[in-house]
Amino acid sequence: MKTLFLAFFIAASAFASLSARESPLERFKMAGDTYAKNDFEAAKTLYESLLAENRVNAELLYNLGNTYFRLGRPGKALVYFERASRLAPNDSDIRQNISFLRQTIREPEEPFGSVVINLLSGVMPLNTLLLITSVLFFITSLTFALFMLKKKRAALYGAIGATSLLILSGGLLAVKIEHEILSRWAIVISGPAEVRNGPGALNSVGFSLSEGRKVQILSKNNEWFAISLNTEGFKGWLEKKYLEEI
Amino acid sequence: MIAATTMFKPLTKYLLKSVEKTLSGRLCLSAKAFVEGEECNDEAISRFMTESQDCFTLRVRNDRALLRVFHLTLLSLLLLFACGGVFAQDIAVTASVNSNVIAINEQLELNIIISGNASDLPNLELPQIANFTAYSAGRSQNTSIINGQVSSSVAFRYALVPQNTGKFTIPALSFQYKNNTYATQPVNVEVVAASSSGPQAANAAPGAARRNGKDIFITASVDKTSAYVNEQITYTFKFFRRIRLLSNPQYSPPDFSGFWTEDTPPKNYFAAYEGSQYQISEIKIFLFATKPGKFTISPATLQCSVEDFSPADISADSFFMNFFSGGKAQTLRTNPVTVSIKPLPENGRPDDFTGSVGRYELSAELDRKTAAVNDPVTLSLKVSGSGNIKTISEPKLPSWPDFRKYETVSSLNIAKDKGEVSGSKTFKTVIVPMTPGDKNLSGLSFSFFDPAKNKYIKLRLPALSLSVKPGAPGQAPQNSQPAESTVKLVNRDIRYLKTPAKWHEYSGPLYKNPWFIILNILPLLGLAAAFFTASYRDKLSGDTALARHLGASAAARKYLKQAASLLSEDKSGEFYCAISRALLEYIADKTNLSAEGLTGAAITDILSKRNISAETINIIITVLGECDLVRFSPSRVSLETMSKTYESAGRLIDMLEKGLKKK
Repeated sequence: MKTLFLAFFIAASAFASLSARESPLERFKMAGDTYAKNDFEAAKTLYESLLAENRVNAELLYNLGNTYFRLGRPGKALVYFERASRLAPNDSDIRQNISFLRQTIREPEEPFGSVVINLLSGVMPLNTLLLITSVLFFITSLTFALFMLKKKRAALYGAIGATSLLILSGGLLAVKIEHEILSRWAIVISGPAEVRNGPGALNSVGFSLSEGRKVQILSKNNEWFAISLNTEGFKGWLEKKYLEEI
Repeated sequence: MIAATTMFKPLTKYLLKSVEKTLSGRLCLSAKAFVEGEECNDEAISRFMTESQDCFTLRVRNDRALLRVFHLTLLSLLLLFACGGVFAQDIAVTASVNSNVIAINEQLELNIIISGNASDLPNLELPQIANFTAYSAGRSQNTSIINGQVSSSVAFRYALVPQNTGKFTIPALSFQYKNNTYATQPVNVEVVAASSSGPQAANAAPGAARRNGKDIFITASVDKTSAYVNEQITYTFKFFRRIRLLSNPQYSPPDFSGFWTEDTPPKNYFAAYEGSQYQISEIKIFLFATKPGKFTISPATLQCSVEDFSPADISADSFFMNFFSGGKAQTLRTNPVTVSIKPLPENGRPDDFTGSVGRYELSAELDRKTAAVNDPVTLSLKVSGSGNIKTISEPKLPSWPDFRKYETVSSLNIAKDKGEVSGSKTFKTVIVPMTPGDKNLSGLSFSFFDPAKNKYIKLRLPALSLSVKPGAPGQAPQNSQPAESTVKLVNRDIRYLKTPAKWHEYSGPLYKNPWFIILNILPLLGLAAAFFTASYRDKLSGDTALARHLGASAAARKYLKQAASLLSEDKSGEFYCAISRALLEYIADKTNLSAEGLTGAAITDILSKRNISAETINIIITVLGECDLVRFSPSRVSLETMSKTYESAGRLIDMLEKGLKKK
């Protein structure tokens, strides 16, 4: 019995060291193979071990979302799809899966304003936008410096052009920062979640939310989040355990 | 002129084609003459113009004129066809009667046939025809689809009951179809007095029996007082009489709102009623309720005038009065009839049930047993039986993945002569096989509610077989109607996993990266540097005194450097020249004066004002004097002296640099 335990322990540690030695891509592929065999629980563990080591990319988040969907947890799936969408907002698969999940959980149509903001925010990932903005900032500074030193007309035109592009990308950046960094979003990961009229279980239940519903976090208070539904205009407090931030 | 008209012709032909259906025959004739080139002159053109204008005005002015116009149009079109059929006609309409001479107690049968190459032929609304009462006796329709071209004809049968004798004209009947108006030709009919036999027999014995009951009365009844929605209810109106009528009775039907109605021609017969022989006129109306609930059919009324035999009036005067006045007017009323309409049961309702109630049969056929790929095949689905045939909706065709379906056209046949509304509705659909092979068209069904059996019945048809041969490649179906979508969604799911070939790791947002922040501060610094440089330059260019002051030392050093090289080459003249310039320019720059105007006295004056020691000034004057001496007297100067002078010049500038700092 003892030997058996020992053998198991050795095998387990060998497996652990093996997995640690393998490249992230190999482990990622391994998880995909497990998924293909319908062993979603194992695939989830593998994907999450990568995530725990901070080895993140859009594909990993997307695949983990798929795995959660197969495990019958649309809320968690949506959290990961939304996170993946932040890294790759133009990916058609991610968009498709998000819209599919929204349809299956019957999320209402978003108001026109948030559709526009989503559209502007989804033009490109944050890092790309930051990079473009800083390159444009560099060009703008350079052309202005040239103009000040050389007093050439061409430098002025270049400076004006670069400035207008900078304003454009800066505007997009502002929208994105507002939408993704300053506003906090969360998804109901287990439902139905009872939204109360105040922070605390003693408050009355205002409404309930089904799993997968996206809400905006207004403020946090220990174990309770103040949330709002922008489409319906409802506000309330929801226990932390029901939510996961995007 | 001829050339102009030749150019004008195609346009006119087009114009004519579009107006020929609506405008006068006169116009068509003259226009045709014009187009055919019989009269290619100004007069013909102007006539064409005025006549077309006339026609339009006429059309707007009143309907009667319009009818005349249509009549003429029809004639002229017939004429045109006889001449060789220049224009294609989409719709043709004819009206005919079974006999042009009828007796007043007979019925005239009017048949109107509309035929054309369209499936949605319009329904004809029979207007009020003077001196006749019209009853619809049914309709029948034939539809065929040949090479995607639909053609159909509808026959409307009406029974016309004359009200008066005389010569009458059934006016032209017109209807609208796709913005065009069509009309039948008028029909002349003569109504003669009734033959003495038959109906008059009742009047032959207006004797004592008359007193036993009522001479004249009307009844209304329904065959059932409780029915399902859309189940047929027969409403029977009977007019009993055993005395002579002095005029034709005026019948006003009750209000049948809440029902679909199908009326039938009246029937006249003799029958015994409560021991007396009556002449009975019977009108049956078939009703189909549109919704559940209790409905009351208001009384029907009949107005007639009869001979007055009331005892008080039996006198010689009254006889003549009766004779001249035409008898006593009477208004008869039936009782209102109430029927209760039950909703159709929810239990056992088939999926494809669309509201048909009655007894039906379903049959289907294909117009051929073999076809090639992309060859259109017509599928005819026929629902026949009794019930509200008009409201039968198209049985939903199952989806056949190997076929493309096109629009369905329906045709309707209705008969009302068996005491019920019966007939058939045929749905023709063009289907186009897309893949070769032996195909089975299965799943055709039709559901209805049978009120007699009190249950829903779903009719299922056995599969129709069609063998499809491979067709010519690339041959597209000729029908231009929109095809069904080629994609069939079976089970929507999320998209599958991503399998990237490379691992691109995300390393957090850039704004948290210190390098990124530093790199973004650099342009700011550069910009600031450029700004200060530029503003410094601006200051210089605006202030020459300062510029000279600041540049003086550099300029002097430049000259001294020049002098040093001259010294090494042992060129005494140029050397002293350079030394002199270095000193003079330096002082001039520092004091913002011109170097040319600096004499020994001036230098002493200026420098002493700037608190330069007299000693230094003396040395300057001495050096400058030395320079002038050598420059203007070409004597040899030793290298030693030259280097001494160079050194002292350098020292002088250093001293002046300290002494002439900007205040």
